[in-house]
Amino acid sequence: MRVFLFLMIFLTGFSLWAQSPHLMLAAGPEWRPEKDLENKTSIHTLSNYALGAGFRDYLFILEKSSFEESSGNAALNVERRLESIMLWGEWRAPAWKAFVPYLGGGLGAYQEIVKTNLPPAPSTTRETSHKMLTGLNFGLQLEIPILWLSLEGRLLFGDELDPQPTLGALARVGLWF
Amino acid sequence: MGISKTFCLGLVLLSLGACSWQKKEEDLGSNSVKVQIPVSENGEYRLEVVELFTLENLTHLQGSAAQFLIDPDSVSGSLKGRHPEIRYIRDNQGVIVAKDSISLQLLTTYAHLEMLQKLDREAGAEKVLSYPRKVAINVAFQNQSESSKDNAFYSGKYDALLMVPFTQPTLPLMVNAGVIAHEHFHALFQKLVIEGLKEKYPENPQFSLHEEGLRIDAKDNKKRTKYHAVFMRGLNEGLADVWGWIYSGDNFFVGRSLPSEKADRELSVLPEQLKSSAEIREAVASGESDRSLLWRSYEQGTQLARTLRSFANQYAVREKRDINQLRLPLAQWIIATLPAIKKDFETLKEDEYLSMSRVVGLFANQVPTLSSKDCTFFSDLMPLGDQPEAFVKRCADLALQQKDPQP
Repeated sequence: MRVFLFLMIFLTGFSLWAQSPHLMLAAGPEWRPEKDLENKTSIHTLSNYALGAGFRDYLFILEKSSFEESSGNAALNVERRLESIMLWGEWRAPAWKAFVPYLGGGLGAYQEIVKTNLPPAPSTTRETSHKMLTGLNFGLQLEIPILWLSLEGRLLFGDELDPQPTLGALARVGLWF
Repeated sequence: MGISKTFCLGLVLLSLGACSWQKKEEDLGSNSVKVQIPVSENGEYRLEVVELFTLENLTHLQGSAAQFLIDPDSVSGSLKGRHPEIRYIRDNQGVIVAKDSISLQLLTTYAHLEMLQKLDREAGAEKVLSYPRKVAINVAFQNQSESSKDNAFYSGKYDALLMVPFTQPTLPLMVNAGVIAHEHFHALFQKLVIEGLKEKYPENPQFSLHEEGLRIDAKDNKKRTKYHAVFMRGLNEGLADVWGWIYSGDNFFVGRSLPSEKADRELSVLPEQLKSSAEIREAVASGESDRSLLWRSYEQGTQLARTLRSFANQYAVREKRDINQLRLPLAQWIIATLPAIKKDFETLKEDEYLSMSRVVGLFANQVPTLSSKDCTFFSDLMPLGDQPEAFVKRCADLALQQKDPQP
């Protein structure tokens, strides 16, 4: 079912783009909060890379986000990596002053990889299966030629996310032509 | 239906679907769980998957083996603190792996306490301690004689293991199997020796305040009491070091986390002669500082630990057994010795003093197949004049039996 939904969004986006193409290529920081051991919220900064294709008022974006953190000392430490891939469909509203508001939804998956180091013993790397991730976003894009500059808020839902839902943000800089 | 309507419908469906997700909270019930933790095999640490059987709630690490209290406070004489929320993943094979170092340390401590509960049972100390064992994490601890960081303590008052912040670049104390077992032993010593002595020696509150070091009242001029405070502390520490080795198989377990202690606490060193009670009595009578007396406690304790560790080696060679096969019998003999120590203390005459030689004699009584060689080994380590009568008599009987075996 998840694969089917993903393919639906992808194929719809591709067919729309084929009629009157727009392309977007962007990167930027994404901020996602997460509960820590003391149940306090800490903000992680993820590297986010996106490739988009648009038609009329619609934009479909395939993005990859990831971050790494490590904890511990020289004798015992844990390195954790989180990777997510999402496909977003966004509707771009008519321009308001110099901005284009947009909202959309996304579907994808995320995976966590944990490497535990206990030198001189061999390190171990273990990973989760891919867990489903969905999201809703709302943002503003600066309407200028060629350059893509946007800022958006996003609400992510997924297996085992904490907090649930996760309210994050994303800034994007790129090209739009 | 137009594209806009389809798009809006998609967003609504996505929102409804998203709302069905819940925050992760795992109640395990009676199921076991496999976790990846650092495990010691004869002092060599490596990452292994072990199965835990007593964990009931994985997120809060609640189970019948241990109860964690984070940032604890003393409220009306008992420890109160919040429960942890550990961060972990479950990999493709269903193995739980901690996502950060502190979660890993907590998970490992839980696993050690579950395994130590099993050791209690096998060593003959089942039901001596109440479970789940309390473990207080990140304790803010002020004390003149002992460090408020990079240390672990057992509190008799709270019957809890207290962990203060660890700042060294070495194996964290909460992962150190030997250290957890060492502190766990203090709880056994508390229940099997110290608590029973309270009624007879109410003037010795320091016996039950292991975590506060050796606090000796300056007004206390009862040298005999002071001597026994020094002695009991050393005895407790020495036997706890042996317990640390029994559980972990690691001769260097203290130094593995605290390198400054390595030389003083290493157990593979051949034992020196045990200190005589007269030497410690003189130190007490001469008014040595509490810090110096505390050092003497640990020195005596290490001598005892090395004596028992070395005996285990000798016994294993004689019995043609692997040294690791001797770890459980040694635990059983030590547990059987504790009530004997308490009884010996209770029945001391006014002019008598406990000594490490007396304790070794009591221990030797618990070894079912003691040989004359073992007697010689122990005798050589006992200062002249400190050899307990019962031990001397048993060894003399053994020598006769082995010289003229009965038909």
